[in-house]
Amino acid sequence: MKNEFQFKSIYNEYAKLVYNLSLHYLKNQEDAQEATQDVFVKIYKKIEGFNNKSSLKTWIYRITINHCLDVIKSKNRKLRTLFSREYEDNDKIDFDHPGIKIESKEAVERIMGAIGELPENQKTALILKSIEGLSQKEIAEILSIKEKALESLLSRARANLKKTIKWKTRH
Amino acid sequence: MENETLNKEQFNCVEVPDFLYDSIKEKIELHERKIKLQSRLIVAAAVITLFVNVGIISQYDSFQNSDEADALNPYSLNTLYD
Repeated sequence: MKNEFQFKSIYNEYAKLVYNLSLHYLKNQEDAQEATQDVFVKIYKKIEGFNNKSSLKTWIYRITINHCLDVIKSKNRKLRTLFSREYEDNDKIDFDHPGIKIESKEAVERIMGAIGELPENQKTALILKSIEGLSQKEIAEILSIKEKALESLLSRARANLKKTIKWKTRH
Repeated sequence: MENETLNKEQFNCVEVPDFLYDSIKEKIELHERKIKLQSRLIVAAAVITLFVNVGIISQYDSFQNSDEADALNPYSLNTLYD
């Protein structure tokens, strides 16, 4: 393994970020561990081509988000084709997020289930804003959009989330 | 709406399992071995292709230089019988 020292220092600095972000997306420890491994393999492969147009942190955020969205897509595709009924209950069966504080577990699980049903960009905007606690500027940079566009994306995401939660509590 | 909001305080930062770095290292080493094998296969294929081409060219050259190349092809004379 070449440049192991450099890679190890990147791992030490960003492993927590990648693992926790993967957990927020995939809501499952096993999947998050797998995703973290794959993300760092990608980082290792691409680090030589990394240009300093954005910060390393922003770049790692992008790789992690794209990878997690791909995992979700392929998981959904598999379940949709094989067991359409299990697909509907998938979120409940797989939910295993060790980071949720016990006092708010039920409500957070419900909201995260609803976030999972939002379109990709709305989901990402909400996760980065509400759970990761990033600033609008940082999120706009990660998503490569303007701050104004992010504001409207976030308000659409919140409105859709509200609708989804209402729909879920009724049914 | 109070229950319908998420914030950072509802989450603890989860520690990364210790075994993860070793698994990543293994995956990277496997990937590097694959790349090495692939490049060796490409070099081998290129060498084989080179030898085959040299063989074909030298065969063609020796044919051109032989008497056989100058010999009359009886089938090309069939126009004489028209």
